[in-house]
Parts: sequence; C-alpha cells; structure tokens
Amino acid sequence: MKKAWKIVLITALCLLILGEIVLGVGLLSGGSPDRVWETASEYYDFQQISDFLHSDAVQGPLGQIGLQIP
Amino acid sequence: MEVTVINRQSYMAEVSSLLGLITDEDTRTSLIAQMEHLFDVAEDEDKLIQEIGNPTKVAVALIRYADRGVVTPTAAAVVAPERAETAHTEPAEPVNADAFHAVEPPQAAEAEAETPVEAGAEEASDVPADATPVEAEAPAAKAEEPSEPTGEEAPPAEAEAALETALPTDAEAAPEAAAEPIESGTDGEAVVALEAEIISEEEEPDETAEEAALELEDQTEDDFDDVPTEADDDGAPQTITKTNGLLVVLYLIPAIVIGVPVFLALVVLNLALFAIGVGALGAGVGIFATAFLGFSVVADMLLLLGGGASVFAVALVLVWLAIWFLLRVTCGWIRVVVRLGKRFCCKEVEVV
Repeated sequence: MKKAWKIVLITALCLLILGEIVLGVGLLSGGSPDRVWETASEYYDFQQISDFLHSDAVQGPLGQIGLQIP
Repeated sequence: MEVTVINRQSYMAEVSSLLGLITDEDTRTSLIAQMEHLFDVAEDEDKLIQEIGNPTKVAVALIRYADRGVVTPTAAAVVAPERAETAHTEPAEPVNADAFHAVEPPQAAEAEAETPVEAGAEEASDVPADATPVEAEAPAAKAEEPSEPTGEEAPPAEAEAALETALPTDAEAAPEAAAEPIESGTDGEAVVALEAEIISEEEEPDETAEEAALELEDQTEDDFDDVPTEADDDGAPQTITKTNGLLVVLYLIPAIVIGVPVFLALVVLNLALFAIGVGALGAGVGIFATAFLGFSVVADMLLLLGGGASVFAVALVLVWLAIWFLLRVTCGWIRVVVRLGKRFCCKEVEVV
C-alpha cells in the first residue's frame, strides 16, 4: 500500500507540475481566460450544467452527507 | 634407532617417492642425486643405512631442508656427511639462514677449496635473489652428475670440506633436532605430520571458509528445526476453538448498535470521496478535451491543456484516497469488530 501511495503521489505531482508549466506558458504567450470562457460557452451550455448541479437529484444525496454545491 | 633389513634399491625407492612432496623438480633431483652419491661412496651400504636412519625420517628431514633450508642432523647426513659427524662433537654456533651458500660440484670445489666462502658467495650471486639455498645448490648438483659417469670424482672429503664452510652450522640444527617431533615418531606419523604441515598452510583459509559455511548451514537448519510448527509440534497439546452462544448474543447487541452506524458513516464518507474524485477526473478530462474543440489561439489552448492536467492530477489523488479509505478504514472497521467478537466469545480448549 505504501508503494502504491508513493507511485500515485509522484505521478500526480509530476502531472501537476507539467500542467502548471503549460498554464504558465499559455498565460505568458497571451492567453486570456475570458476568451477561453467565451469560446467554451459556444460549445457548452453552462447554464444547463449549473441547473443540473443545483437540482434535487444531486443536492439531495450531497445534503445527506453534509455537502452542498454553492 | 630402528634397524630394518633393507637394501639400497628399496631405500632409494622409498626416499624418492617421499621426496615427491618437494614441488621443485630440480631440488628433488639434486637431493636424490646426493643420496645416490652417498651410497656410491659408502663402503658398507647396510652400515650407511643404519647410520642415516629409516628412509621416512631421511625424506622428512630432506623435505624440511628443501623447504626452509634447515639442516638437521638427519639431513646433514645426506647433504654434508662429514659435518654431521662433527656436529656431535663440536659446540654449536649461531646459525644464520642467509649465510647459506650454494653447494659446488666436487671438481669445482677441489679447485676452489682454498677460498670456498668466496666461491660460494659468487655462486649465490649468480643465482636469482629469491632462490632458496637448495635451488642454488641444484646447478652445482647437476654439474656434479655428468662428472660421475666420466669418472672424475673429486675426493668426497674435499667436497665435503667445501660444504662445511658453505652450509650453516648445526647450532640451529641441534635445538631443531631436539624439538623435531618426527625423530621420535613412527614413520607413518612423520609423513602424515609433514604432509599435513605443508598442505594445511595452503588450505587453511579455504578450510576455515568451508567450515564457516557449513556451520552457518547447520545453524540455519537448526534454527529452522527449532521453530515450532503445527505439523512438527507433536509435543504441545492440541487445542480447539469453542464458541459461547450466550457471549455471542451479548456481543452482537452492542456490535450492531455501535458497529453498524459507524460502518455506514464510513461508507458514506467513502462514497463522497469517491464522487468528488470521479467528478474531478471528469472535469479534468473535459477541460483537456475542450482545448481541441476549435480554439484559434494557441495560447488559449495551452491554458486549457495546463488547467486540465492540473485538475486531472488532483482528481487522481482524490480517487486513490477514496480507494485507500475503502480498503483500510471501512474494511478495517469490519475486521476490528469481528476480531473483538472472536476474542470475547471464543475460547481455546485443550483436547485431552
């Protein structure tokens, strides 16, 4: 179990570092989160996703275990 | 001294076979040649055999002489017969092994009888530095051999006189003779003792290593043998587990009251963790996939790719945490309840 934990943590750490580096490069090279959101909203209906997350089907079980989506 | 009826041929055959322990062939050949010469010059062979002793004793002394250059009275009887006679009458002088010089052939010794020490020094200098005294003697002995068939035999007395000054004195030989255990032992014991002495020096490290390995194997085997096992434990009494029904009922009530809610809480917590982990995994994959939807700016794509990878890493840890929680905490709680119950309700009874 210890070995498995080590492998998972090391893999996650490497992936996180890689992701942060790529994120940093994107920001430095002129990327804009607003532009990304506008383009993504053309493909995804975020309102529908938000309604689903706040629906009783999801909020009910989460509320029973003490969780809540803001 | 033992008196054995033996002729020259038998005597020389036995000595030659025993001298096979000497690894250096030249030394062995020279010693055998000296023995032969001794018999050649002797007036009475039987008397000579009686004087020098049994062949085993002589061979052992010669081997020691070849190995370490130590001249015992027995060896001196062969390599320096006249000196061996005077050793009993003259007082012993301090011996230096380095003072030993090469033995010269009789005809050379006759020419150099006036300055035998200097000639010996020259002979020694011609010989390699690490050569033993007997090895230096070997060329002289070899030169001596062809001289015999030609008939030019130098008087043995003059050759022996050269040997007297070349060989170390018997001061060392006297205590050596006194301390020599082989002299007093039987033939078989003498040979065995010397062979063991020669061989043991070479094989001792191997033997000790082998012995240590064997001891370790024996020890580990003993250790394994000493570990009690159920199959081998014939001496200990056999036991069976008996369950008390009343105690089981008594235990079940609090076990259910306390154990089940705790178990359910742990399961719910586990499911929540798992849900969060799976959700994060889905979000990471979704963000990653969005980068390839149709963004025109590469920088925006990089933002999405980097963000997706970061979320995926966190999700991985969360999912693994959920699995670990299930295996260790939830299943561990069940194991604890069952173990407590066994300890409370079951008892081991010896079977008579």
